[in-house]
Amino acid sequence: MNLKPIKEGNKLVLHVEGRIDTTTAPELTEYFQKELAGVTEFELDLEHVDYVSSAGLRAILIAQKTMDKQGKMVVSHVNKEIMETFELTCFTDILTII
Amino acid sequence: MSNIMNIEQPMDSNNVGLHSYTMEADVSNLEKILEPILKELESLDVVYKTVYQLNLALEELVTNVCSYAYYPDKGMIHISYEVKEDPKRLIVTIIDEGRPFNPLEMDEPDLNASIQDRKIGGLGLFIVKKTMDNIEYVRKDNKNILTITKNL
Repeated sequence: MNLKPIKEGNKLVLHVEGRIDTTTAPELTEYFQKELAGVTEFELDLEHVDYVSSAGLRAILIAQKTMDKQGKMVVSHVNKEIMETFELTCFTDILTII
Repeated sequence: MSNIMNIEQPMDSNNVGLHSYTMEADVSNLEKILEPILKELESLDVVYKTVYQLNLALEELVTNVCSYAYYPDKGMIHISYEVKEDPKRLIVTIIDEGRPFNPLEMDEPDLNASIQDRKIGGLGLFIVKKTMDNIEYVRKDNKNILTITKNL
């Protein structure tokens, strides 16, 4: 997994590449815990992510909870399989998917 | 480790399609533990959605064993799998000698809870239950024996 952030003022777009699974999710969670401070607009771009496990869902939930307190978050370019996992777990009710 | 069950031999001589292996139950081995099964699916031309669901389910179940079964000690994980016909299906058995854990007895997560009340745990096993066609758990000879079946 690679993380490619683009930050402009209080706006952050994070392009993630690869798999968000048991082994990579902790790194993503750590990134959210450090780098969302002061961010009011956050886009999580999953265009180059082909797999999200439950560990990945937990990481994304942490980001959404953080952003609910301080601004807005959207999740973009979700592929079909990941969308099915979001639907199965009702993450579609929690996330703003564009 | 002593008393590791010998599952290297097929359980009966007609069962040539049964593959078994044992590895250290460590999260860093996750990819290696899943690889033989995913390769098998690749060779069978299984639809991507099914491969994806199996990948998710197996990652969850293997991670559970690696993270909790022996904690804080180390132990082994035994995997066996086979493809059967009529209907065509993959059967995977995951065995550990760790503390008793029946994933079928876990409470389901409250998917209608508001975001701030959403619990972090339980999602993975929920996904397993929803996407696999059958799950069986047996505690026998101090082993957790979990068998999942997925129609291909």
